[in-house]
Amino acid sequence: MTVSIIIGVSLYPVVLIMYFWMCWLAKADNGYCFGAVLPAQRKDEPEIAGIRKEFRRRMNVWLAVFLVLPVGAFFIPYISVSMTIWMTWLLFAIFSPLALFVGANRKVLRWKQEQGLAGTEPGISYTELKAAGRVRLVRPLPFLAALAAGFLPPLGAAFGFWKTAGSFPGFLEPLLWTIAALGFLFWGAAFWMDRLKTEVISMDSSVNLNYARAKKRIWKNMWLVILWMNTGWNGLLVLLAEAGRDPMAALLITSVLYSILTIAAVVFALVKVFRLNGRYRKERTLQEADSSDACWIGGLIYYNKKDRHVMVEQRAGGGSTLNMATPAGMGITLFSCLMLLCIPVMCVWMLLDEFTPIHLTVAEQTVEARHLKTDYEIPLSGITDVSVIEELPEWTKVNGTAMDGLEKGTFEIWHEGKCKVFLNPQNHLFLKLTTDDGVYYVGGYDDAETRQVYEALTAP
Amino acid sequence: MVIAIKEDSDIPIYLQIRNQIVQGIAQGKLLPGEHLPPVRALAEEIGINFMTVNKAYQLLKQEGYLISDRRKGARIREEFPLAGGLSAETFELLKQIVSEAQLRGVSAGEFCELCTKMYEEPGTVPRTK
Repeated sequence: MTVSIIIGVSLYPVVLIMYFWMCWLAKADNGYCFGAVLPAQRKDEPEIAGIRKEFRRRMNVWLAVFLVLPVGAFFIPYISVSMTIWMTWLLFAIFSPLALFVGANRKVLRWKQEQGLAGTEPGISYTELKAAGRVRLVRPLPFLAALAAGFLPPLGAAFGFWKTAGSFPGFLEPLLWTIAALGFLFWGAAFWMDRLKTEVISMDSSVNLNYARAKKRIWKNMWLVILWMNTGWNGLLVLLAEAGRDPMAALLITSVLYSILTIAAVVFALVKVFRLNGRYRKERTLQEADSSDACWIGGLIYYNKKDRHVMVEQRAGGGSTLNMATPAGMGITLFSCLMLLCIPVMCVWMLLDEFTPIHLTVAEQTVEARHLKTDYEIPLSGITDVSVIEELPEWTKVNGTAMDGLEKGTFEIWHEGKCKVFLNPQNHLFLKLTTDDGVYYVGGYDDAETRQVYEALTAP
Repeated sequence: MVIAIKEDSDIPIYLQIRNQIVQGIAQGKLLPGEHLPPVRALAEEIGINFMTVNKAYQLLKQEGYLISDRRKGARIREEFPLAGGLSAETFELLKQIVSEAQLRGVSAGEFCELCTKMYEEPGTVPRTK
């Protein structure tokens, strides 16, 4: 239940974000309507207003459905089932509004066809000559400073600079390195967005240059703020560890805080881009040809073989998107799809993990711990001490599984060190095996099986 | 200065770039001595191969519109050499345009008026020597 509440609280904002983002896209006024070219003089046509209204109505229904749908998951006692429901819900929450968007895009295109606006003239691509290679706002120094500062906490831990560094829980130091390394990703994203083609909105070069600078400044500032927040997160984790706070609780609280602030930074940047578009509405006198709609599948996916740009400005949303016709665009998309496929695979793995019973047996001079496979084989000759315990120590998972009915893998008892765990914490009897390799906390399918193993181990 | 590239045009892209830079100079959108973006930067911005932009720059250099050196890159000439007439290619092009005007029933007077208007369009025509 607690885990489900944490997941729910972390994931519920996704629905609200998607809802407000989609409603915003529906009323966007940047020369496009649902990703289709729409001249300014046609944007107030009743049919277009009708499509926008219908989209908003559908989004309201969508919001109600998606807010209610996962409630049942809070009451499911099995974490794998609850997680599977949440993940399925999350995927649908992200992709179903996009399907509604694509539907609205098709309606706009159909209307344009009926109005004779579909456009068959050859596509013209406009380029601001004076902007080529000149509108670059991402300078190395501010990003390098933030990145370097982010590496101070893990470096301090590696060189024992922090007084608690020696007693850091096992997961903390690699986590600090990972968070610091994330900075490269943010810097890369900033660098890439800074090199996006300058959008040409007017025949007046000064308008194009000012618009491009203003827009790129927003994105640059956003990435820099996120990079500093990343650095701050690392610093906060070390400060809390130094202050003697429970590292797991510190990680949970700071990661929630970090996620909220990151989302806030992105939303803030998007609001600024929309306002910028509003300010430049009158100056926007140049528009892409209607025929270019063919390059935008559903108004969202860009596929243009004649364009060598890997990243282009999004028509809907204010950010950037990939050109699927380029090898890099295709590669990144395939990689992202594979990553998405990991979610259902992970759910199946969790279901198997939770519902496959564990077994502890003694055979051929070894204690064998079996679950989905043979997890541990401890030779009897290596066991120096065996004791039955009824209460488990307080520990944190370093790697492996930690569920209500299964704890398996490497765990860390704070201030004591790492141990291997293989048991069902719902049982009442467990074995503590001290071996040459370290300490094992193990248990059988039930208390009877655990006792049986204990007797076999202590038999003369 | 905005360059419009027609993807499906019969005119090769390098020539489209060359023509529009010449127009830009004539209309005062590109001033004498003004630097042009580096070949790779412009190619990246348009989304084409850098060899195409290089070809256009080479042509402009041959025709005397650009000067370039390794350190400062390409820039518009401060003064254009007085050739005393059109180049052979442009003369051929003009012949073609005049023929088309004749076939479409545009009189010589109308044609000259149109040319005069184009000459007087706002913009600074660079000084000639």
